[in-house]
Amino acid sequence: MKKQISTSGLGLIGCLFGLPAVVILLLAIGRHWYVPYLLPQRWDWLAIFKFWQQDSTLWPAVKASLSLGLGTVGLTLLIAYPMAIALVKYQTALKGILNVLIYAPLIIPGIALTTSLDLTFIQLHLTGTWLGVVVVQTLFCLPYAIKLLVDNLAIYQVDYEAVAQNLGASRWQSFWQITLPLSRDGLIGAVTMTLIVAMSQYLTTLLIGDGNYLTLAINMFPLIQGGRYQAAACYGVVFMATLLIPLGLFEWVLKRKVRRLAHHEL
Amino acid sequence: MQTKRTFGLLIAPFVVFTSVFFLIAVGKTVSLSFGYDPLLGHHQITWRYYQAIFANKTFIRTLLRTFSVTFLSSLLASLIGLRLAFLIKRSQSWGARFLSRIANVPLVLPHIFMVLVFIWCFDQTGLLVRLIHLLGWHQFQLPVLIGDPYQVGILLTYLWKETPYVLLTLLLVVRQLEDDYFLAAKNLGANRWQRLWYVEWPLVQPAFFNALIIVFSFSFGAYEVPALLGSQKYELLPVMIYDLYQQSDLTLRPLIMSFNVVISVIAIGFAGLLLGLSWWLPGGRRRQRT
Amino acid sequence: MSFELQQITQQKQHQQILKQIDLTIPEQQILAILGPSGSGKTTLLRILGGLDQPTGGVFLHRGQPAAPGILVFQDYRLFPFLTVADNVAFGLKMQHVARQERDQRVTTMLAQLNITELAQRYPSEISGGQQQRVALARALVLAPQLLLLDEPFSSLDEALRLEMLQLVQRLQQTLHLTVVFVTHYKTEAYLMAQQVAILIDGQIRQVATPEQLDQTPQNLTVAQFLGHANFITGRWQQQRFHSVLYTGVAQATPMVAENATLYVPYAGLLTVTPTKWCAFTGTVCSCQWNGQTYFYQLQVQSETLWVLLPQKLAPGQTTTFYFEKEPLVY
Repeated sequence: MKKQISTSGLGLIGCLFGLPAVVILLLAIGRHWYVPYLLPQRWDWLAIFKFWQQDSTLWPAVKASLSLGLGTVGLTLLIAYPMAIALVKYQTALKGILNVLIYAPLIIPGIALTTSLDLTFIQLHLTGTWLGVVVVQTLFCLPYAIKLLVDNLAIYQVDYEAVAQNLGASRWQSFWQITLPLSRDGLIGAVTMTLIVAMSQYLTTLLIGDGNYLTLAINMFPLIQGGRYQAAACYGVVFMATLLIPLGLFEWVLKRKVRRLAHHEL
Repeated sequence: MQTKRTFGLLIAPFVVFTSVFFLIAVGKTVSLSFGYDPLLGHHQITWRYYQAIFANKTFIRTLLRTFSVTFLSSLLASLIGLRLAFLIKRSQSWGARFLSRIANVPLVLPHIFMVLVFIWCFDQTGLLVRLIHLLGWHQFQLPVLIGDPYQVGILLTYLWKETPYVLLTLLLVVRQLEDDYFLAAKNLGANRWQRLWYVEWPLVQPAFFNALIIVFSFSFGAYEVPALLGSQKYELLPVMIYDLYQQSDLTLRPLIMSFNVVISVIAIGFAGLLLGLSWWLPGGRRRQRT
Repeated sequence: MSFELQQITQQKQHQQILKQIDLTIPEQQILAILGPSGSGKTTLLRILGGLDQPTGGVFLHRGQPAAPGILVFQDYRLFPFLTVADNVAFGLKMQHVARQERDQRVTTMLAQLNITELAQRYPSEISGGQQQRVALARALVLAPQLLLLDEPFSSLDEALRLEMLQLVQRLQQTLHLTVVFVTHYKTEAYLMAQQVAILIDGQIRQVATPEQLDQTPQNLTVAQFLGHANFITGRWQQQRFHSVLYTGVAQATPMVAENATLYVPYAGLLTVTPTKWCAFTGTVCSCQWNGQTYFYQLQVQSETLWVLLPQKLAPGQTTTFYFEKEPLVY
């Protein structure tokens, strides 16, 4: 009996955590959701497509979100992956300082970092440019990406690369054959987190982008402020699709690629 | 020699990136906060702006308000997350499995979405009120939670968004906790509470404090939620600083930068304090076998 | 004056791990439970340590339900976040023993185990042998009526193993401990215990002293598990054993049938001094020094046998072998 209550309680909390996604979806495709109704009274299954056609800001926002998000993912991986490998593989006295530098952007209040970076970037002529926004978003994403990659690589206590090299693999081969397949889950996690954080950025994108990059998150803000909840919810659904489709594709490609690498290309 | 060079090559992108963008920004902020602004021809170093900050009652009050709201929400999120992680640790029940899956949802949704959903659910004509009316209690009224002076709406939104984060982070740690220590303690005569306090808490507390620090640091400096749900009269720090910054008044820049320095020092200091607490508590001095 | 296990059974997911175990654990002695891995040793130990409840049976001490024994785990399981002294004090703290008494008992115990100088170190900072001493101290400080050791020496090297073995024996004598330890390592059990219980497939097959075990294994299962013997298959007819290798008298065990097996321990054959049980004539194929005696591989007709002998024989030499005593047949 006690067990039943506890499992139902956990289920209930789970519903509370799942509620936001349901509410956004219902808001987007529901109509006549007034007081006192608990559910929309009518449905418009094509609501999002209609909104897409009516709202000329939506498609540019998708493109802006995607181009910034993917750029950030690329730059973040380029920096975080070698860094994570270095942190796991090498014992170094620098670890303390490096860790401080890695986690500083998480600890320093976002508002302080954003306004300071904006001031600096104006002087570096990066404000309003794609690169400028990508750089700032990368700065916020690096701690998560490095942490996820390090945790994943650290699971494998055995130095499989050494084994491979002992068996005659070159350094490059042992990276492709061993390290990359082993860090597959870490890479998927890092890319996921990076894309989420990058696409969710509101203030940094607004300030550093200087109005040139009106992403989904930026466009949603005034909609909520102005009480246009249904439009905001449509933006929300599009946001989820823009986030999840590339992530799904990436996972699929990586899983296939890694399997091929590991089994056939020897 | 070879390995040293490889190590250098591997960390080079990070070091270059961080030095060029992050450290330059830090340097610029600190120098501006002391009034050093070559663009405007100010070369004098002055404490003026810091003195102005600490004389500013509104800033101090806003700081304290922001700190209490965000710390309270982070602490609650961490405690609830920890409790839930222990509850679903090894449970195979459908409730536990469902919860550990579905907790990913708020993690993926940006804060703005959570605000939207919060308004739709907890507004005075929101879903919660409608549900209670439907259940037959027609006089029920919800206190104002959007723009309320006590920032309850902000607190609840952060709680809703951050608890799943803490839950999922700690679940990874809690699942790795070996039963071994737990059983050893049981055999040595520890009862349920003693096992929790003397064995499990020391093993998870470093992860707990890490999660608390990350959640607190984030909400302490985040703009979106207080901007959308905060009270205009009792605003929180991020909103205040952004409003000042938006005025594009060049003479205000040193003041804003000294705000930034002060709140950064506070955030770093508080994170350090929590880390120190974790270090000092049993379990914090745990040394890794190498 | 003993601990009694009566009809202990343990079932997990429809699988019987322990099958009606009856076992007497004499007080102030060391009893080894010896068995192959997967035989249920650890399950039995967990029941003795109160970590699991058996699905059936009782565990008594002098006729009363017994208090759980204190365990020393195989991997020690010292709490990584506590110093050595705090690890040893853990059990006393759980019982709310007053600080002063606690400190005193811990100090005494650390001194008894010769680890006083490690008191403020952390488990990760001390060696495996030292960790084992700390684990022993942590259990012994509680003055357990029953001390349980789970494969206590398996992760130690040879020299350290002997040292720890002697330490446990010495502590058992001075503190009048009742000790049960499980192992899959025959030498360890023989060197340490007064009594050895053989546990195979969840059943106690024999309880005896080490000598008795090797001289008269109760059945073929035990004999095969203990190993170090040749098993010769043949027929049992008219009180005589018949096989290609050996035909002659043998001591029959109760369950011997027509298809019988002769038990020939490696060390149960002689060559220079004839006895009345002449075994066979064999040719030496290879010879190996095992540290104490020579270990020979013999070719006897079409079969291969192994023998331990003190004498040096040259490969190719053909000799007659005798049984030291009347061989057992199962």
